[in-house]
This record gives sequence, C-alpha cells and structure tokens, in this order.
Amino acid sequence: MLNQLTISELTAKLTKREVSAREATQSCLDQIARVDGKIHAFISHDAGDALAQADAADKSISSGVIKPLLGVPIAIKDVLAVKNQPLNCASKILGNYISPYDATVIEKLKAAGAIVFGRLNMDEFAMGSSTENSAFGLTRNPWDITRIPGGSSGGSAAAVAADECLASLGSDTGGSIRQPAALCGCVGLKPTYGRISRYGLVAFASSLDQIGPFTKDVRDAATLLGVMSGVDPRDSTSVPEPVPNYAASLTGDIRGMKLGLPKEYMIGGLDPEVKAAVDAAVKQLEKLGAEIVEISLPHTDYAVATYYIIATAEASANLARFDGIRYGARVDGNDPIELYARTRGAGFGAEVKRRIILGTYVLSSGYHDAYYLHAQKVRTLIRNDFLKAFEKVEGGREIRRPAADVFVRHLHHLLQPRGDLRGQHSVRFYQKPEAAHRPATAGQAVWRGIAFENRARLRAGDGVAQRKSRALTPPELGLSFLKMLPTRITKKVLFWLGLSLPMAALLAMTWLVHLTGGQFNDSFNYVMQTYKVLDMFEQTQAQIVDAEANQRGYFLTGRQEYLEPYQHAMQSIHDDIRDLKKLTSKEPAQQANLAVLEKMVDEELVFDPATIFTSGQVTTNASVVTLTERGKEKLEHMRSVLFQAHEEQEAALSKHQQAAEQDVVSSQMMSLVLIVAVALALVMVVVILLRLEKLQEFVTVCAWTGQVKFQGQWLRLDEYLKRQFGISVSHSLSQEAAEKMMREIEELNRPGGPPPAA
Amino acid sequence: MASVEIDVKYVAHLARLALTPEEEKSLGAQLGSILGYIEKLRELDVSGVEPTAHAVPMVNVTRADEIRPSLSQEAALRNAPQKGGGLFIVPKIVE
Repeated sequence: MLNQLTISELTAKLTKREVSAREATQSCLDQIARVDGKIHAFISHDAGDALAQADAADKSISSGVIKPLLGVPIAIKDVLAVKNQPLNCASKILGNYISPYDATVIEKLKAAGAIVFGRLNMDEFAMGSSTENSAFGLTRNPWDITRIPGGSSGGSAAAVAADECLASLGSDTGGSIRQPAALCGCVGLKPTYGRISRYGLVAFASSLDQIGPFTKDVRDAATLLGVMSGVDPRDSTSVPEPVPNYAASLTGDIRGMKLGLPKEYMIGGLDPEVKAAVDAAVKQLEKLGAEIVEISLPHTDYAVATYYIIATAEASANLARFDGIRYGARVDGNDPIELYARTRGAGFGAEVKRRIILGTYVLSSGYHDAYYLHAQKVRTLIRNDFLKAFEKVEGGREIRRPAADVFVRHLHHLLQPRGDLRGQHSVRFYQKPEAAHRPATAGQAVWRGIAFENRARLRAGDGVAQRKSRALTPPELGLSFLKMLPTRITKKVLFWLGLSLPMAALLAMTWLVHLTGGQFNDSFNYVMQTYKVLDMFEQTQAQIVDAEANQRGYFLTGRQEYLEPYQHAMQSIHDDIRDLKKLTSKEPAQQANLAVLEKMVDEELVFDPATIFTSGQVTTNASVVTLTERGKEKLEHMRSVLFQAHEEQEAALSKHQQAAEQDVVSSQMMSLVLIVAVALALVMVVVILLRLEKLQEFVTVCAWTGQVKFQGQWLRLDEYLKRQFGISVSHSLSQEAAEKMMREIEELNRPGGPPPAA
Repeated sequence: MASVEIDVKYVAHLARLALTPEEEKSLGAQLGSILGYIEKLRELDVSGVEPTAHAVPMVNVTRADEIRPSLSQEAALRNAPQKGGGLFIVPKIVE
C-alpha cells in the first residue's frame, strides 16, 4: 500500500506516473480512518485540504515539474504553525487558534512540493516524554497499544510507525524526537541547533529547541533535513552554514569511521537487554569496518540537573505570552493581572504549571545567579567534554532505553539531554530486527555528532540500517473481534450458506403451516360442535313441550294414545340431555344449566303410567305439578333455563369467532415476515455469489515471480488484493524469510567483508 | 537529596498563575524535591568558567532596517478573544 512506502520509494513511483499523489494521500487518509481511533496520533486532520494539495501536486507532476517532495504526504506536530490550520500545542489555552502564517519549515516543505496535513498529538507545549500530558487525550504505541509512544512528539512517531503518513515533523528540546522514534521503531533526527529555522515553532526552551523529521528510513531523514535546513532571516539563531547534499553522503560504507562509546553511559541500572543490544551493535559496526573508541564524558552525571534549570527557566519566559489578551482562550478578571492568572490557571495542564513554577523560581530575584547562571556554566563544562571527545572520533554513540517505570524513566532522562546542551545533533534508528517482537522495549542507538557534521551521523546510521530490514511494519491494527470473522468466503462456506438458508426457511414455513392448520382445525371443530349444541337445545325444548302436552292429555283423559308419544318424547329428552352433557363437558356453566334442567324434568315430567290410576286419584307429584298453576310456572322456568343455556352458547360462539379471526390476521402477518426474511436471505446469497464471481475469473500468475497480471499490469500480490478486492494488507516476515535474512546478514559480517556488489 | 522549601504562592504570583490550594500543596512538595536534586550542581567548581547561553554562540545578528511584509490588522486580530474597532479589548488598566 502506498502509505507504507518510504519517501524515496513513493517519489520514484510518482515520477514514473505509476501512481498519483491523490492515491498516496488517500491511502494515508484511509489508514488514519482505519487505525487512528486506536492510536490517536492525530488531534485533527483536514482531509479535503490534503486531497486538494494532492491534486495540485498531480497537476505539477503531469506538467513535468520535479521537486524533492512533490506529492509526498507529511504530517505535522501540533507545535508548528501551518497557515489557516489550527495550532493548539495540545493545550486548552490556545482555544480555537488558527495560524495566520506558515512556519519557515512549512514554507520549505510546501515549496518542495510536500502535502502538509494533520495536527499530531504531543505532550502539552512539548513538555513530557509519554504523550500522556495532552489536553486532547493520550496517544498509544502502534506496536502495542497498552504502551506509551514516548514524547513529546509521540503523535509524530506513532503516525509514521502506523503508516498514517510517509513522514512527519516533530520538535526536540530534551529528547522529544529521539525518544519517541526509538519507542515507535522509526528514524528520528534532531539536527544541530541552528541548522533549521525555528520561526513558526512555538517555543519551549529557545536555546535547545530544534525541529526534526520522523521517517521510515535514514535516506528519507537525510532528504527532509536537506529540504528544511538553512539560515532564515526570521530566526536570528539559525546559522549561515552551507547545506550539503545529505542524501548523497549515504554510501552505506562506514569503513574507517571512528565511533565513540562513552564509558559513563554503561552505568548501573541499565537494562541487560539494552546493554546486550548495544554490545551486539558495537560488534556489528566493527565487522562493517568502523572503529569503536571508548571516550569519556566526565560531567554526564550533571546533565539532567542542568537541563532542568535551563529548560524550565526558558520555558517560564516563553510561556509568558499566553495571557489571554491577543489570542487563545480567556478567563475574565477584575483587572489585567487577575485575567492573566485565571486564564493561565485554567488553560495550562499540570506538567506545564510545574515547569513554569520551577522556571520562575530559578529566575526569581536572589536565585538567578545561584541556579540559572550556575547551570549555564556547568553547560560549558559539558560542552567541553564533547568537544574534547570529538577530537578522537567522528560520532559518539549513546544508549537509549525506552521503558515506562519511574526509575528507568529517570535514568532515561539522565541519558537524554546531554547532546542538547552542547548543541550537537543526534539521529536515532531501530537497532534490532527482533524489534518486531518486542518493539516497545527494544534497545535503541543514538548517534551524536560534531556540530553541523550531520552527514557523518546519517552515514553511520545508514551503514547499519542498510543491512537490516527496513520494513518493520507494526502488527495489524484491525479490531480484534473482526479477526474472528472469515476474511474470505470459500466455496465450502458458500455451500453451507446456500444449503442452510433455504432449509431454515422451509422448516419455518412448515412449522407455520402446521401451527395455522391446527388452529383452523380447532376452530372448525368448535364451531361445528357449538352449532350441534344449539340445535340440540332447540330440539330438547320441542321435546319438552311435546312431552308435557301428551302428559297433560293423558292425565286429563287417561287415554292410551297420549302415552306412547309422551314416552317417546321423554326418551328423546333424556338422550339429548346426556349428549349435551358430553358435548359441553368443558363448560361448567352449561353443565350447571343442564343439571338444573334434568332435575326439573325428573320432578315434573316423570311418572309411572301403571300406578297413576290404580287408586282413581291423581297422586303423583308430577301429575299434581302438571295440573296446577305451579306446573305452568315450572314449565316456564324449564324453558327459561334452556333459553339461557342457548343464549350463553351463542355468546361463546361469537367470542370464539372473533378470536379465530384474530388468529388468521396474525398468522398472515407471520407469513409476510417470513417471506421478507427469505427474500433477504436470497438477496444476500446473490450478493455473495456476485462478489465471488470476480474470484472465478482466470487469474494469470507469473510462474517465476509469483506476481499477478491485472488489467495488463504485473502486480505484487498485495497490490492486486488491494486493487481487485479492496483488501488491506499488513506485511510481516515468515519464519523462513527471517532466517534467510539473518543468514545473509551473517554472510555479510563474515571476515573479509561483504561480497562485492554486482 | 535535600528538600528545598519553596514559597509556591509567591512564585505563582510572579508567574501570573492562579493555583488551587491542592495544586499549591502538591507543587510545593514536587518542586522541593526537584530543587533538592538540582543542588548537586554545587559540587562543581565553576570559578573562571564562562556561561553558555546558546550552543552556537552568535552575537549581533541584525537585519536591514526596512519595511517587510507582515500580518494585516485583520489577520493579527483574527484569534483575539475579545476585539472591537480594530483593537484588542482588555480590562480597565488605569483608574
């Protein structure tokens, strides 16, 4: 992917018109969208502005313009002014500040054709070494997001390490470029003080601050240094030294170079892993033909204290300008003094306040000579140490040890600011191929050099780096749960998907039909039975009337012809009541009605014809009932019981019908939902099939290089995957390749030196 | 290392920095111990040593006294927290 290239790789491709600046910029923006949520290297970035610059660069390229950085996306630490872009120094105190001008380095980058974009996170006002002291949240190390990226230029280092840009700018006062570069595994360079104009760099400690590049290899650092260097009338501390061609001095040959190893740096408390890495590097440098000389820097122990005084004193003076009057946030007060104090109290973070107080104290009346002047004199002693040492060697070698616990941090500080106090510059690069495994704790080497002899340092760094793998690409930064999903759909997956989706739909349909059918059946049975019950109630009523009429006729006349219809009707009544009891066995109300009815029938209608006239008297209870007015009442009562039962049954029927109608509506809804679901599943399968269609074309693969032919071009597999499928690729080394590389390195290091180049 | 007493309230006033009582207390302790550490510089005899103000000493860097392009009034006022009539607005200074 284009965002993973070095500057020299990208410019080669741009010049040959293989790719466009827009594509390169877009791939950086895509990478930011993909990983910056986790890393938070950027405080903000203006994608539209970056793409507009890329389009302008493409126009220049197509009209044949050649510039060293034409079309190269470079991101900027939030401490450098970029016209019309925000500038906050990761602090609250600058409010919504928008830079009205470009810093000199930004002018130079733009003139060289670079696409200048983004505001990179940092420790507030560059004070700190972990990028945790930011008002905009902390930045994480791309190699391991549970670790710090270093600081104060943590965003600059993390953005380059995570391939969110091709290179970035940072600033270094007491290690703010070199330490995060070490922790994030990229190349960081603090140039000699005065080499690069500080105009447009928000000042922390003016006698120590320098702007410098973060890059993916030493060559790119040399290129950027060349672009940015030079005297500037707007910075009276910039030095009128000629700017050599740094990149041209990178021959890869370090034979005969004399490199110094300060004995004071190999002190107690040094991590054994770091010491081992330094020892290994020293051995390798010797094999490559460099001479390692032990040097002594006797005032090493006083460097940190000196730095504390000088840096905080200068910071307290520089930060006095943030007072809420001309720019930035303001908290009102009753008078100007109160306004300043409130604005600064609310706007600065804890670390900045701590340094302002310390700096103000060491400069305050009665203490200036005791602290600040004294420290400046010690600074002279430290400077003399180096001048003396450099009479013996070309480049001093220091050890950096990036770790996060308090003791080691302190030691780290101890090792950091010496070079800064004497004005020498340093270049840092990753030291071990194993860094891929333990990047955030890997030992690092820092090269110190004689002032303005930046070439020697770059050469020494490049000499080692050229023989190592450049592409220490951080591990894949995707979300972990996404990793659990299959990254491609195989035919097997498709087969099971295609089979299981319709099967599931079919099963669901069957189940629904079964459910609906059962409900319909129940309803049908119920309705049929209820109609039968109603019918029988009516029939019973008719039989009761019949039985009563014949019974009355028999009682009045005694004629046998009444008896037979009576007995027939009675039989029917008993049968009907029995059947009704069975049919309504689940309805307690009807059972009660029928029980009442049966009792009344027994009391009023039943008699024994054989005994009724034996005494010539009508004696049975039934006959009495029948022949009196009370009999009529009873009959009416019987009818009303039947009528009530009939009514109740009809009410239940209509209620049941309503429920059945609702069932029908809801089962229709369910069918609809199911049909929609099946349709969606089918659409999904079709989409997947269409995507797979691409895979089923014949792909031509080069039998020798393994490259893939795509639209008439031979592409590397990763390029092909990106273009054809939009798949993001992360690079790593297989065990086999790593071993092969190690063998090659050993081969190169064998006595007799590397084989002559072809 | 010895701890040094420091009047944080007074220094904060010099620095025009409003601190909460908690900040004053914690800063006092932290800065006291840092100053204790810095005391070690007194071990060194610096008599006769010239101070270094800048790593690359350059003096009397001047430029030609001529008008050069600079920010317009509008651009200079763009970031002002309070402005009016082409001026920065500040609290009353004289009685």
